[in-house]
Amino acid sequence: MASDLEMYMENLDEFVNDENKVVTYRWLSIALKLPCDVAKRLLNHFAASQVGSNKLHVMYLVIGQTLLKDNIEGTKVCIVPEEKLEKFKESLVSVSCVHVYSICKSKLADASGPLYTADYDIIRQNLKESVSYGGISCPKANQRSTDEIASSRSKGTYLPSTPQDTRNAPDPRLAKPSKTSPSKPVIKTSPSKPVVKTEGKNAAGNKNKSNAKNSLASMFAAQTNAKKDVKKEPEDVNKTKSQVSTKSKSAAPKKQNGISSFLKEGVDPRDEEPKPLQRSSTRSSPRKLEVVKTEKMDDSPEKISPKKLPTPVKTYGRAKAKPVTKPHRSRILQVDSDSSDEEGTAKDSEDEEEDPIPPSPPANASDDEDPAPKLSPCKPTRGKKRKEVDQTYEEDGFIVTKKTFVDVTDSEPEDEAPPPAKKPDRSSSPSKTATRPPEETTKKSKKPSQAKSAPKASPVKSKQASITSFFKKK
Amino acid sequence: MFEARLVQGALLKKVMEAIKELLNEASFDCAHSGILLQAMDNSHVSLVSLNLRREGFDKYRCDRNLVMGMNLSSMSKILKCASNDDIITMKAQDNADTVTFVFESPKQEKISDYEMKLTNLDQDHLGIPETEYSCVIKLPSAEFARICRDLSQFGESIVISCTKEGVKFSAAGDIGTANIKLAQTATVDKEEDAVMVDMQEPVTLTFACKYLNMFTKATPLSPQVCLSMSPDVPLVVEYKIEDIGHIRYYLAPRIGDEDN
Repeated sequence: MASDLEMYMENLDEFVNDENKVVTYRWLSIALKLPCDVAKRLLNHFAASQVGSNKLHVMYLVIGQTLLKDNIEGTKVCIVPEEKLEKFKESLVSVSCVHVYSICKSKLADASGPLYTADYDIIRQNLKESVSYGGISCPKANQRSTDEIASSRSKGTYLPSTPQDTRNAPDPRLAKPSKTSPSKPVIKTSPSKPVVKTEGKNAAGNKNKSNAKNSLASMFAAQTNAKKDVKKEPEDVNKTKSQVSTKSKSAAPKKQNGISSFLKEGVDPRDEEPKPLQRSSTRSSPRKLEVVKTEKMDDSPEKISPKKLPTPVKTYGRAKAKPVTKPHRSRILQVDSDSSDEEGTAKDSEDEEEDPIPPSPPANASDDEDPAPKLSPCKPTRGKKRKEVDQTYEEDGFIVTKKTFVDVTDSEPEDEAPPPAKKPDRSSSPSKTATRPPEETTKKSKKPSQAKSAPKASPVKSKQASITSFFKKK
Repeated sequence: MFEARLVQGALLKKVMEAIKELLNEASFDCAHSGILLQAMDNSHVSLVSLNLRREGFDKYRCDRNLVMGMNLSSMSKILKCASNDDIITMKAQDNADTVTFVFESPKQEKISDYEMKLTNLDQDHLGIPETEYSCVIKLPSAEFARICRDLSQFGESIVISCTKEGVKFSAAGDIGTANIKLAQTATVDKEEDAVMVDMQEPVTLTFACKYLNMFTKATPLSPQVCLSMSPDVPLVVEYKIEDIGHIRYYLAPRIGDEDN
């Protein structure tokens, strides 16, 4: 066990100090396949062991009771940096849980993003497994097969869905995230916890409903203040959209399963939901939206669906965000055009390089020139903008027909230059055809260089001796 | 019946790593004295000669001489299934067309066996004459790997020139030139860390980086590498494999480069 601990500590040290990762306990528990409670303890131990060096920044997750307006008690879940831990604890009526949430080497200026992305991928990849690392399990909960879900859907609403239940269930979640404002409110409590809480509230009846509303509203209000104007526009749009979605979703009974769906389906819905929630600031607007609506249309069970399915709204937000990223696309385009320009110029320079080669003595046919013959055959494949064209022209008294590649967009003269330059390589490149009277070729001044170009086609081999020339076969 | 049991299974894994990049397939000549492998790479520029003596094996039995043509990529896949501390046994029946690899974990709690089909390879063996080399350079194998890797960034070929001052590796290319000079080390704690040059006459030869880099895959097999050169004959790069044999690479020089 001691060696295990050492190994884990070494692992942790590697993650944190060498790989500069933000290590959350969720991430750790999945990465090392440990129960999340063990992961928390490991983090705590590690944080304690590194105190001397003073370079780690630790985020704590604190859950505690707090008093809201009208002396109503509420539960706060918050991720706070180490420095603010004590202060935050004092602000709570009672603290029910404090544990290390994450460790990282550098201080996070805005914790929400990094913390959110720290374990996003790994949890997504291990949705199913991540359940098993939780400390709390419900022995009666069975995961439903897809068939079951499908059949229950076709039956329609078969569960007594009390609007409060379903609405309240998501509420605490929303409440938690919103309070932590900058830090990322991933809900780590084991699946059954929020459910239990909500049940308790339900027992208290309508009051609780208003409680939830109050707390939510106040939180969102606080958030809106922070984010203010920016959100207003999207909010309106989102409202209309979510209304639409509410209706459409109410048709799906699956959503009305409420708590039972959480219990039975385990992590999947929860994990998926909170993640997209915290993605970007634009997403907070759909949340506000939901609050507003819940207040207005308490009694309708349909209200639940928007909360349970925040994803569609969110994806909408994302889709909206995309236009913003447009510049990115255009940048890519620019790169393309740049590169093609470069290719053009590169080609020119190649051509220029090739020009001197033919007259040069054969001795030069060495490594340095190897690239040249290699390059010319690749050219045709390069740009889509190039066209293969037969060019016929008169040169030194004979007609030469060549297949050359012409840049459609660029000016032609540029391409006319290459053909004569490439001539020496012709013998080696099959794409080009030259019609020449053989006797005349011999007369040509270029003849010697052509003769040399033939060996050039396989320069490496000509220079690289074969091992068989040194050793005789037995 | 052929059976060879190697307690240090990792050794065979390393040997495989050292040759699989250069060769696609090779025939293992199993004889009473041990296992020999000789093969040229596809372009016939280099030659690998592997010798594993029977004394190096924990148990070695070879009733009749046997030539086993193996596809090295398949063999490498099989050897990857072995852990580093496994004991590896190769087995084959006389005239069989398969070879069996048995991996035993150190405590014998896990035993796996893999059977691989043999292929018929008609490879010619080359006679390698005994040669007195003009220069014999011994240097740490990691150092040699590093030099080859570094210089291959500059050009396709490396010039190795050995003089009485020491040995110089150089490369030239589009980005410029690179020269690495190693002097003989006077005193050294460990013999394997030493650079030793034994020279009758100065030699300068040019070799293709590509192959040298493939040779250096054998680095894990030995802390020291020995380069032997004579004018206009292939370079020999030898890695001794402790207690069991050696792996030698022969590389034909590039000719005519010096003229430029």
